[in-house]
Amino acid sequence: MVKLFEINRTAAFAWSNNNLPYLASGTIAGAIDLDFNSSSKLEIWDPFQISNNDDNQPVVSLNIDSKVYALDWSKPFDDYSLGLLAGALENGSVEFWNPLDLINNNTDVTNDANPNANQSIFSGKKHTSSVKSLKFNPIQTNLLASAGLKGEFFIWDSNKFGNPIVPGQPMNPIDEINSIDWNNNQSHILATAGNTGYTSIWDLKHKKEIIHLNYTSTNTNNNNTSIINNRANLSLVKWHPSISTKLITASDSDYLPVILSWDLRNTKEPLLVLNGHKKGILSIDWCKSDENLLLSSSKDNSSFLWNPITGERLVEYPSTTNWPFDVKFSPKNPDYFATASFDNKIVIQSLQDTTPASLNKSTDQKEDEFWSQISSNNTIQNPLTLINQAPKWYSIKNPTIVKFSDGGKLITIKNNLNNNSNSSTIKISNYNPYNSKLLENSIDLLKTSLSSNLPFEKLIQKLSTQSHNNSDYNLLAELINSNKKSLIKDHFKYTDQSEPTQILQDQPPQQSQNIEDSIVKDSDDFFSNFKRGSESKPTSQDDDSFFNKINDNLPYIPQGNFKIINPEESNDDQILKKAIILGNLESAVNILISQDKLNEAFLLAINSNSKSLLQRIKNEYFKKNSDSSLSRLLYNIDSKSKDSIDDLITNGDLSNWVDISLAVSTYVKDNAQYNTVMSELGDRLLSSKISDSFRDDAILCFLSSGSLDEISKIWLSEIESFEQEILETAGLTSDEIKSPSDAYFKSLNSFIAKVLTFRKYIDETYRINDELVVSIFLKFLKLLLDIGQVELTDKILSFLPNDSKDVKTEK
Amino acid sequence: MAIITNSHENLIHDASLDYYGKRLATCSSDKTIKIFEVDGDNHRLIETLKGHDGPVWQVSWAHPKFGIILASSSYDGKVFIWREDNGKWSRISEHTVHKASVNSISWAPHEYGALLLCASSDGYVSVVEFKDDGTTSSLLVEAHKVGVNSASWAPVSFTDTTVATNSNITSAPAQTQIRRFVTGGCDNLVKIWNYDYDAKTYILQDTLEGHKDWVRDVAWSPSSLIRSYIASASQDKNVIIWTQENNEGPWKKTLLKQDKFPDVCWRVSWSFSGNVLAVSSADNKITLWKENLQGSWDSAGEVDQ
Repeated sequence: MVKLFEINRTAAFAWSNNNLPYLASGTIAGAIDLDFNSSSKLEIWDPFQISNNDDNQPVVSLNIDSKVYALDWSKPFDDYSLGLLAGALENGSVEFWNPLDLINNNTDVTNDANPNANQSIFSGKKHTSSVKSLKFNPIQTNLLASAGLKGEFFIWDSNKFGNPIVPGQPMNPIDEINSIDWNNNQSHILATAGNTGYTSIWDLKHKKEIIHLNYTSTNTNNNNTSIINNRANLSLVKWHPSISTKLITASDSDYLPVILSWDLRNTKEPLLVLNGHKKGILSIDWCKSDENLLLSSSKDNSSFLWNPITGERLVEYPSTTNWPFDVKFSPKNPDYFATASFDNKIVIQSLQDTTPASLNKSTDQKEDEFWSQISSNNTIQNPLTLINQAPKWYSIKNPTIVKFSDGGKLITIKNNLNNNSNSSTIKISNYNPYNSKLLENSIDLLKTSLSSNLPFEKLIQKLSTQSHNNSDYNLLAELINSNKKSLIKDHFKYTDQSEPTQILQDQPPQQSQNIEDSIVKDSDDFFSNFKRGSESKPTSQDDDSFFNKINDNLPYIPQGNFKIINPEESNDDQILKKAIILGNLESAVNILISQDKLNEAFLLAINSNSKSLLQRIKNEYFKKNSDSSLSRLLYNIDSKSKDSIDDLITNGDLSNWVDISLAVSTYVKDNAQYNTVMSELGDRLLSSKISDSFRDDAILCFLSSGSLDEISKIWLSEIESFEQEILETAGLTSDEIKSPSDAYFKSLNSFIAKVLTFRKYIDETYRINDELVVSIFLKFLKLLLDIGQVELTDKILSFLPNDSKDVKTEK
Repeated sequence: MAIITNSHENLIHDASLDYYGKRLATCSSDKTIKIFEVDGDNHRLIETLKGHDGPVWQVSWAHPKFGIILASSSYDGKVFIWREDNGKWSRISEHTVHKASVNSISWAPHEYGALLLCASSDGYVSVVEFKDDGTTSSLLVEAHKVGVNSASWAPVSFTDTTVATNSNITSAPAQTQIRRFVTGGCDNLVKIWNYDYDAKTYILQDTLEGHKDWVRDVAWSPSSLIRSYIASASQDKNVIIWTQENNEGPWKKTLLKQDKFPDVCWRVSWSFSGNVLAVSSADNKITLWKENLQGSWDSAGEVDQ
């Protein structure tokens, strides 16, 4: 057992009928408090800590006139949403409290502020002597039976709270009634037991005692001959939870401490005698939720759990040090019960505790410790509280079980509870949750996307009717008519709207054509223009005129005489010319750079064939013209500079993305680099969301770089919005989409079909790599398997990477 | 259709097919577990596993990437892990942190690793992790004071909503999984738990009130629809569908059926495909339910047994 809560009171108690029950306690009559306090209290505790205070304080505490022999707490009924609480008082009154009011008042106001709040709602004064027992009727909850000394026995009706009725005449005069219990099926039948030795059954309809039960042990085989013909004192009684003719009685006699199970159809002999307690029995409780469980407590300080149907003793609970005078199951959650004992305790514990009992603590303990432990084990300290039979409120009562399983399987279990043969049937069947129209369309779409003999136009036509973002298919068509690397150029020719002019806007318009011509040339020919220009006379250092000269296509013909060195020239110029004449080109270039004459420097460098020299001048040029976009473009297409194109991809303004992509397709020759760069551009477009068409633009970039993984990721992100779109457009009369799950299936299906189609045309050997995409594929394949499409599943599975553990398992 | 009759000496409480649909594990109040090989309409008993001291409530197969692993839970408060190796079955691990009946067990989505969620009458749920090096560790969370009847994992989802929007996909940081599960207990409540990566434990996220009596079973739909779906079956003869949009915000409560079921609802189970809910109730009926476009639930038939 697991001790859940302990109340330090010697008190009678009652559970409330909640799943998280309260417990009411009333100072027990007939016992003296440790500090000889004679005051009496009614208290309400919250052992399951709904309010979560750990200080073990009651939520209600009020003084009452007299000590208590018994408490009972009814089920909720009428206006009493927490039920009614009734107390059997030593002074003869039967008190009724509204526990909800008590709890609310106690938390809202102090007792002093509202002295009336804690009063009972009715105080029944009919008993002339102590009331020993009382019980609410389980069927007609408003009825309460009370009984006590002098055989006094009354039925109270809480609906009118008036004079109680007297249930009838006993067969023989009754002295004292200690125990009373209503039949659980017949609201007019009840049983009483007391100190007269027998148990009486009463019929309220006929207002009389109808049966008399007593028991005398005739067990002559018992070794202990002294108990032969001993008469049991049947002082306790409890009815069977569901069968109206069965009940259990128990004897408080130390000579015959037995528990007896009866069927009233044979009152001569009990059905079963439960032996085990060594002294008189103080309390029994038969579980309302499971007739196979009965609690008992005894003057030998033990508490047992029995199966009163088989007679098996299931558990011995830890013994108390002073009489456990009351045990009760929590009615709504009988996994828990409480035991009240005269050692100033009410202990709430669980029926079962599966934590291993530490019986054999250690083998290396000292001899004297061993003996001292043995002796202290006179009282059972470490019981094995494992119940092998599960209480009925566990799944036992559930005869039918249903469960969906992988692969579209439905498992049903049916247990036949009607007889003792324990027959059972387990069935495994296939279950298809989708309508035929949806299935037909979906399977057809997948097969189409996989088929190799359908003409492309037909295929696209078919796919487009079932998919999201059909513009993607148009792009795919372009790709097929073109090829990866020319896709971009062809695309912009197709659309004929984005002539690459923007980047050149700084330049006079008439020059654009020529510049474009130059761009088209290989980067190795970058300086061919300058070579051509080298034949001309560099008459001007002005950049603009320099470029103007480039455009002059007439061959240069030198005319007239000229002097190489003019003494009036500056010293530097003379040194420069001499260096040129002598072929010291490097010094000459140095002088030119220092004079900022980059054009002349370029001409010399080209003649020198020195790559490092050329590189130096380029570097100077780019540095000097860092603000010029033309210079920046030149830098970018310069294949001799390692990171040049990356600058374009990373820093090029995305409003020019068309021009960037065209430049890339013109200049990046290496396929791997092309793919990387275009894919990066696609990424940038995606994250920038620069225009309405950023998504389509990114797809174009990815398509030209063959990045199916990237394209798939875009589609992946659209699955849910497509799902939503399907849901919104599906009319009530749609014969394909009838449930949100249909839209989910269709959306996934269209995603998969799209990826498969693109894969077929981009690269048929390609395996889908992206982890998320793969996981969506696997998810969809599970759906396909659920509807029995094994072949299709196998085929699609072959497109997924082999090295994924998940995929392997799937295969 | 495979039909297996009278395979146990007492009530059968659960039957579970492995990932491939080839092996069926069953468990019973006779304290045993049986393993059947299932092939089409045929079946063959291949093993009977003994060791539990009480009724065995549930059996559950781990994802096959962890091997041929079966977990079982019992009224005896124990969870056993069984493994098949070359046709030989052995018990490889015992999970004994619970003090009372372990009423339900379920393996987490395999992406999280080998994690087993156990719900016990002692009021706690535990999540046991079986690590690659053969060691185990477990987290214990007090879930429903008077007993937990059932617990069920949410399908894998992520805090980062990249999958839901057109935002920057490729540069998304490592996504964090939202690990959630739902529990139902004897306090009539349904509770949602979420793994807190800082606290390294599961934290109560939502408490759903609606049932008037014990919640017998909870099931989180494995379908990753736009919404999350949870079904709870109760002693109060109602089944409630709880839905939440995009993994956040309040849970919406919908009664599966406007009027009560004729008897206590014991079990609920979702189909992976189609999001169909199966309900079994104490009147021996099994009914199927599917959501319509208006968001209420239509009967999708009754299962003949």
